[in-house]
Parts: sequence; structure tokens; C-alpha cells
Amino acid sequence: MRAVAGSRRLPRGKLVALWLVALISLFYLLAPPGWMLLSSFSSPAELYSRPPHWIPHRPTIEHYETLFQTQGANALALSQNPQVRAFPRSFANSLIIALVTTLICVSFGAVSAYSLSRFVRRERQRWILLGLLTTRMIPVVSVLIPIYFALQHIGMLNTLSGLIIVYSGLLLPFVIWILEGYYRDFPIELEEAAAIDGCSPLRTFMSIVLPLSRNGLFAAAAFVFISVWSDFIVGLTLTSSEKAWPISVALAQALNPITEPNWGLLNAAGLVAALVPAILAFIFRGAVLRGMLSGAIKG
Amino acid sequence: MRRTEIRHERSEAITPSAHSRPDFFLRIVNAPAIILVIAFSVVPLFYVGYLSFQDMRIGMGGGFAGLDNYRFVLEDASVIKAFTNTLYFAVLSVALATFIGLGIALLLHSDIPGAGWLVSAVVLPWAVPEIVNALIWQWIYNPNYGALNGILYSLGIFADYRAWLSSPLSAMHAVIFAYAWKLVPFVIIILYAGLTAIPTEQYESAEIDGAGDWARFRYITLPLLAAPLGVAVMFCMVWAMRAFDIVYLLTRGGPGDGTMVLSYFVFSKAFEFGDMGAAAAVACLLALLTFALTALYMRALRGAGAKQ
Amino acid sequence: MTAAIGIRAWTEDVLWESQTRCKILAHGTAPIAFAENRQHLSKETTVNDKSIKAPDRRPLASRLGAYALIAAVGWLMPLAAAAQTTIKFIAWNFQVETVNEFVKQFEAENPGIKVDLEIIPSAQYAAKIQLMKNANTPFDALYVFDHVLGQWASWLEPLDNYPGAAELKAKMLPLARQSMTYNGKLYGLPYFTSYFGIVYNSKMMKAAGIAAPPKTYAEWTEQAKKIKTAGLAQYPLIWPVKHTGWGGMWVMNTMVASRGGKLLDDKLNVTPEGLASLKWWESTYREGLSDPNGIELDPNESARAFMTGNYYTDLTASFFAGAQWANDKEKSKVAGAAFLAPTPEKHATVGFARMYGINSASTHKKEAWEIVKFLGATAKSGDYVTPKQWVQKGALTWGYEGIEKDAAVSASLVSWGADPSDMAANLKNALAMNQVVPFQAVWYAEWELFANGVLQNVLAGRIKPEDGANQWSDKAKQLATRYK
Repeated sequence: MRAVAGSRRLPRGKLVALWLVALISLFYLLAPPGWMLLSSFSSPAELYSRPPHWIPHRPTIEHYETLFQTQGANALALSQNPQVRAFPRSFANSLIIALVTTLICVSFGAVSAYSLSRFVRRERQRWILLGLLTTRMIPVVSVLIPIYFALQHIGMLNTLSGLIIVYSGLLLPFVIWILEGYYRDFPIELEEAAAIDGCSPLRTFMSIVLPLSRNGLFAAAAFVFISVWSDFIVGLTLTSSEKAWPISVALAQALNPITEPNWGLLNAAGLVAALVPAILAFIFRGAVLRGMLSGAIKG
Repeated sequence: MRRTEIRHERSEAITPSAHSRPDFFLRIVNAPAIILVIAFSVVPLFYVGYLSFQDMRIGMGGGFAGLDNYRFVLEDASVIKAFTNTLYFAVLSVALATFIGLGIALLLHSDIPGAGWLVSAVVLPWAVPEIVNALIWQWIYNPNYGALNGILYSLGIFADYRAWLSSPLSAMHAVIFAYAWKLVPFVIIILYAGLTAIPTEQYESAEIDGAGDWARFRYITLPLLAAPLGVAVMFCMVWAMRAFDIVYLLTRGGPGDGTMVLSYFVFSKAFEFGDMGAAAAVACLLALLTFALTALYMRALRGAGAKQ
Repeated sequence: MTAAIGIRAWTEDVLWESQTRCKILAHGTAPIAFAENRQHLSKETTVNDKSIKAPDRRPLASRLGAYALIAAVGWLMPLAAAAQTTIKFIAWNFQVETVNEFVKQFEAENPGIKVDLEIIPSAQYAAKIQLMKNANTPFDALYVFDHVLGQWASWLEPLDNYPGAAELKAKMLPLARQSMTYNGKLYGLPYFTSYFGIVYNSKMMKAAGIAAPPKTYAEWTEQAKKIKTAGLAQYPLIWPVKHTGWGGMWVMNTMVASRGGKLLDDKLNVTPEGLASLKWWESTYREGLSDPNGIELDPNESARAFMTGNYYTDLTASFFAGAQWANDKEKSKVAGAAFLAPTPEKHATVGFARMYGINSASTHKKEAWEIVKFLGATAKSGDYVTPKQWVQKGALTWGYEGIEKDAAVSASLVSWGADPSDMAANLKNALAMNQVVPFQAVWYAEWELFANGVLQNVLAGRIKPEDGANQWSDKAKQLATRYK
């Protein structure tokens, strides 16, 4: 990192100004989820006062207990928010769906991206890449109709596998597009050496290229996982019961109650829903930043 | 600069490969990806195009409709309103996200201690699912207990709590602010990469010449950031024009049609009123619009790149 | 232990899906026995992602054992299920536990029929059903909103020729009969009906020295002004005006009906009564009598707002005055003081109905009729069991004449301050919506969404009432041409 001013030590005034901007930026980035965190530990009394108690005087974990239906669960809240009962199951669903989709997208996407970058002529390559990008220009809601018909036809509505293949189909273009750029800049000398040694293209890819492209793969994996975990409308349309509900749909059902929403409970649910992708993003932030940089800066 | 030069060199030649052609197994392993992409990304696209020329309204007979759907849609005042809403929404959210993102990227780039914390915080909006984002902001904007009301009330700015989502203009800006929050990470990442690519020599020679901070920013940083800025803005515009989840979850199209954006319009037409043909027509128009915008940007970017 | 359960759930998923696919291809229905098993298992499965994520950590033998066990169970179950018919019944998420109870009562009475109940949130209900229908997803019976009957009639089964339908039709209230008939055919049996009335806060009324709820619109304005100047409420009037779902336009329809007219005439122009109602309503906002902050409240939210005791009147569906809402002793600050009053002027009102319908593509129409009859009319005993229970459990009003005469029903109504015979009289006189607007036109739902938005703009003062009325009329004409 280099200082904007290009000098080693910053003058005092500038340092203070930078600190201020840093604090405000941090606040902007962290305040909304931070408020969700604080709300989830607040009792309704503190939450519903005017103004609300910013930091709960008497924090409580009752919302989490209700969510996971343990000892201290609030029975009234549970009966008013029956969708909450589906929460643990939908959490598991999302985990399975996201993990399997990530596996499929990264493995097959890497192979395709590598093949695209090495074995396809420049002209055709450009067209294919453009095509891949174009598939994402149309809003997802419109392609939902044919996708719904297709799943209905093969009987995979409201199943985890159905969701997995749909998400894979929808996210592969983007993964291939990102990884193609990554592989294009990959040094070719290693592959040439392997070819000389008699490795087949597949062998070269699996033993040499794949392990070395870890950054890009992790970036793509994080991207797919978070996209799948975040998705809402595809999950909403293609599922109809808690058997296959991803967590975003379960949460959305909880946001449409007929009785007054229990905001503490909803915030707790939101936090749990956001926890997995947030932790993942945190762990892989280095790889993601580096991976996306190489894929993102294309002339 | 070296990287771009190498890339330039490569693009002249045919795609390099250490092997003459892919082997059989490589082809096989490619097959699933190709099948999945064609099945769920390519075919549906063509189907939507096909649908836009069909008359598929619930309760009425079907059949080929020619350009009827397009004619109906282009004459419909609601579509025009959705279009202007979408433009307003996209431009403002991208502008807001870019402004904030630029600031944070500059901050990351400068050597203040504790910037590491900022890097970790940067990925947070990206990781938070859209539904949770909508939940957070719905809670903040809540007319009876919301945090925004709480802050403004305790600061004495407002005498009473307000319903932020109940007037079209207010709702639109509320949604923009909530959506921009999610766009910021991408802007930061791309701009930060662009900033690291600017060679220090430029700054040092400018400082020797006596240029102040602001002059250095204006004449060195900004022009050299033009390309990454362009990329960031282009990505964000494409996403913002397709934004659906946040509108669906926060306002359902807004009071009246205040936050009715094109993708929500497509959803509404197709799923709530069963007029799939018209919905498909709007979807195709939106795709064309996005495509045109992207093409324009790419051309502008190429132009800006050549100038360097 | 939890790991084992986790694996079982996971492997069962995989097996169930493959079997279901075969079943669907073979029979067109899915065994619901598995659905019940599934729910039982899901309660035990803990959120221990390790157990679900890494089954390969378990020894091979126990995995094979788990597979064998489930395979055995899996192949035996369908044999048992084949002896019964399973019908798929779709409902929205109002009082789901109560619906489950009724379904169990039905299954107890009809041992050969099993019901696979699917719940869809009401906000997405119409959209989801339309999607399912477009994709030929099999289902047998379902809830139907009266405002989509025109759109759905093309694939709903006409019920006139089913055993007992004619007698039931004769016993229906005019409101129910009109709401459920389209082009002369009957398409549903009543789930519930409701009429619009003024829910008013008698405590506030008495404190302001007002003797009775308003009998004219001018009186309504006067009373609201009195309450406001007395400092009893900042904005005495609250209305459900949210732009989606039912709300604003239905209140508008009520006000127009109360003046004895229609909203749109035969040429789809707004009538003088319609314009007068709009102008009056707008004036209440302009004069600070209606809460401007409440303009995006849906019927539930406006009812909850009323329950805080801050408002004098809420013109809404009658059941919001019931023991589950305004007269809920625990949740409502106006419990015991909230009553229903008829609309002003001619005291005429509109009502709406929800019904049970049958999918004409169903392969189990006979059984579907059984459950529709059980829920929407009589049990095997000939008694209107479910409709009566709905009055008691949800304060929902009924679709047949004479229900209010039942002792239990009557008692439950009286318990929250309603007058059974008064309600029955209102119900009998309530107009179905299609008497006031082209409610059963295929394009009506789309027009109403647009009209709601225009209404909000008028009430908020963004456009003038006359312009709003013109927009209503223009849009109706545009849609009518498209769907000719």
C-alpha cells in the first residue's frame, strides 16, 4: 500500500481527516448489520421504545432460543410465527444446496474456463464470452417461467437436487467468465513443460494447473456459495414446502405475517441467515480480493 | 503497464496452448457444464424471446401474436413509468455506491493503521444475503419503531416518527440507499485494484513539481482511474437495472408505482396478472437496453484505454 | 446419535426424490406418508452441519445399514398408501393450525381419503397458483379469491352438477352466490364472506360527547373534527390503503355502494357517486382528519393501528371487529369498546367472499368435492360444522342463511359485542363487488392494482380527484380493449 501523498509520514491534520473518513466508512459498512445484531439481543420492551435503546440495557437470548426451539423459547412468538419452525430445516437445506452447487460450479467451471482459454480460437472465444455475459443481462424473473416448466416436466420441483442444478446452470456462465480471465493470464511455461514430459491435457490441468489456481478457485467458490445462499426469487418460485426451502425463502415467509412481526426474532433469524456467508467471506477475503481483481480488470 | 503489454501481445497471437488439441477426456469433463449452461441459461433466454411473440394471457386463448405484445407494452404508460423509475434507481444507486466506494478505496490505499479492519468490513455487504439486507432496512425504516426514526427523533430533527416507505419519492430514495449499500464492495475492490496499478513515480514527480494533494488527485489519480471506474460503473449499472429482490421485499413496487422497476414489472405482469406474453416482451426490451448500455460502455472503455 | 439421524434425513431425501420422480411419472401423485415422516424427522435433526455435510466419516457398514433400512421402509410405505386416495389441497396461510384441525376432522370422517395440504403465503398465493397451473402441476382442491374468479374460471370445475350443490346454492347468501358464480355457473363453496362496516371506538366517541356513529358523510367529517379539536386523536380516521392486496379500492367501493351507486358505469367512466366519494375521502386527508402516515397500511396493519386506541374509525372488513382483533382482550387497547356500525347514507355496503374450488384438471374430482363440501358446507351429519367453527375461531362471517341462529355461533358473536341478527341483516343486504365494479372481468385484478396507486396519489394530494378519476377510467378502457 502506498500513501496517496507519496511520502512516508503524513502530516497530523491529514491523519486526523483520514481517521475520520475511515470511521465514517466503517460505520456506514457496519452499522446496518450491527443494528441487526443489537436488535436480536434486545427484549421487545427495549426495542419498541421511542427512541429504541441503542445498546440493550438487559440483553436477552430469548429470540435465539425461540429460533432454535430450545429451553427458553417463547411459545407465543412461535405460535404467531409458525414459519420459524421451518428455520433449522431451511438452514440445513441452504447449506446442502450451496455446498453442492459450489462444488459443481467450481469443478466444471474451472475445466470449461481452462478449455476455453487454451483450446478455443480467439475469435470464437470472444463470442462465447460475450454470449456468457449476455445470458445474465435478462432479469432472472423472466427466465424463471421456462425453468419452472422444465423442472415441473422432470418432476424436480420442490427438491434440493432441482434447485442445485438450476443454480448451477445459472451461475456457471459467470464462473466460467471469471475463471477464463484468470487462466488466460496463467503462465504457460508450466504446461509446456508438462506436455514435453508427456502429460495429456486433462492430466496437465488436474495435476498442475488446478492446484496452482487456488486463489481463483477460492474466489469463484466464495462467489458461488454466497450467490446461492443469497438467492431469493428462484428459491421462492421453485419450492413449495419446508422440505426444500432455502433459508432466504423461510425468512421471507417470516416477513409476511398476518400478526405484528416480532422484530427481535426476525433480526435473530436474519443474523443466523447472514452468518455463514459472512464468515466465509471473512475467511476467504484475501483470496476473493485477489481472485476478483484478476478477473475483473479486463480491457 | 507491463501486464497490459503482455496481454496485448497475446491477443495478437492465436490462443496459446501447450497441447495441440484437447483430449477426449477433457471434452467429456466439459460436457456437464455445457449441458447445464445451455439448459438453464441459453434455452430459457430463447424461450422468453419466443414467449414475447406469443399471446399467453391467462383465461384467454393463445396463439401467435406477432408484435402485439411489444406494441401494447410500448404504449403503456405504466411501462414508461417503470422505465424512468429503473433509470433513476440505477443511476442514483450507482452514483452513491461509486462515491462512497471511491472514498473507501482511497482510504484503503493510504497507509493509515487499522486499514486492515476496513478490508474485512468491505466484504460484509457482499456477503449479507439480499433478503437479510431488506430485513435490516425494513427494520430501520419501520414507521413505529425504526432506527432511522429513532435517530432523527432523538436528535430533534423530527418531532415525530414518519413512515418512510409510504410516499413514492421517499420510498424510492429509501430503496436506493438500501441497495447502494450492497453495491459498495464491488466498487471498492475494482477501484482499489485500479489504484494499486498507478505507479508511484507519477506521484513522486508531481510532488517534486510542487503539486498539492488535490491537484495530484485531480490530474493523476482520476484520469488513471477512468478505466476501472468505467468497469465498476458498468457492472453496477447492469446489476441495478436488473434489481428485483430489494424492491420486492421492501416496497412491492412502492406506494402506487413509486418504486416499480422494470424487473418487478415483469414479475408482476407474469406472475400476478398472468400476461406472460407482455411480461416476456418487457423482459426482452430490458435485456436489449442492458446490452446496449454495456456495448456503449465497452466502446467508451476501449477508447479511454487507447488514449493511455 | 444426531449424526445418524442427520445421515438418515439426508439419504432419505435422495431416495425419496428418486422414488417420487418414478411415482409422479407413474401415478401423477406423491405419497404423502413420506411427507409426514419427513416432518417427524425434521424435528429431530439438529442444526449440526457437520453431521449432514460429512457422511463419509461414518463407517461403511452403518451407512449401508442406513440405506437398507430406508429402502425397506421406503418400498413398503407406498403399498400402504395405495389403498387410499390422496388429494392435494392448497390453502393460504391464515390460521394454519385451524385449517390443519379441519383437515384432520375431514380425514377422520373419510378414512379412504388422505389430504396433502400445501400452504402458500397469501401475498404470493395468486401468483404461485397461476404458475402452477401454467406448468400443469397437479392439485385437486384449493382456496380461491373472489377477485381472481374471472381469471381462473377457465380452469376451475363448475360445481352445479355435483351431488348436493343445487341445495347448497339455494341456501347461500346472495353475496356468496354472486361472488362464486361466473357466467351463470357456480365455481365454489363459501370459505367465508365478509362485509365492510365502520369499526368505531365507542370510548373515544363518548369522550367527545358524540351520541352515535355517523349517518352521513358530512356528519362523519364533523365528528372527526370534534374529536381532533378535543385533542382525543391527532388523526381520528384510519383506512387500509396499501397499494397491493385488498384495501383502498375496496373501501372506495364500499363508500360508493353506500351512496347507492356504482364506481364505473357501463362505459367505464367514473360515476358521480364515485367522484363524490373520492372527493370526500380526499378532503379528510386535506383537512388533517385522516392519518397521512397510514397510507401504506394493509388491512391487518390498519386494524392493529386501530387496536392501539389512537383512532376513532376504521372502515374495513367486519371480522376486524372480532375477538381476534379489535376486541382481543390481550392485544387491543379498545377491547370491549369496539363495535361495528353500518356505512353512512343508504347504509348499503359491499362484501367479499373466499371460496373453495376444484381444479378441472384434477383426477380425483369426487374426493375433491368431498373436502370442498366438508369445508365449505356440511359434514356427513348435514350440519354446517366448519363454517360454524370458523365464526368461533376466526370471527369470519358465513356464507349461508341461518348460521347465526346456532347457539354456539351466536354466543361467540355476542362475546365480542356483535349483534348476530344485525350482522346477518347486513350480510344479506351486502352487495357482491361485481355490482359496483367489473369485478369479474379478467383484467380487474390488474386494474385494481393500478387504481390503488392512483387512489394513494389522490389522497396524498399529489393529483386532483378529477384527474385520479380520469386515470381510473382510462386504464379500465385500455385493459378492456386488450382483453376483448
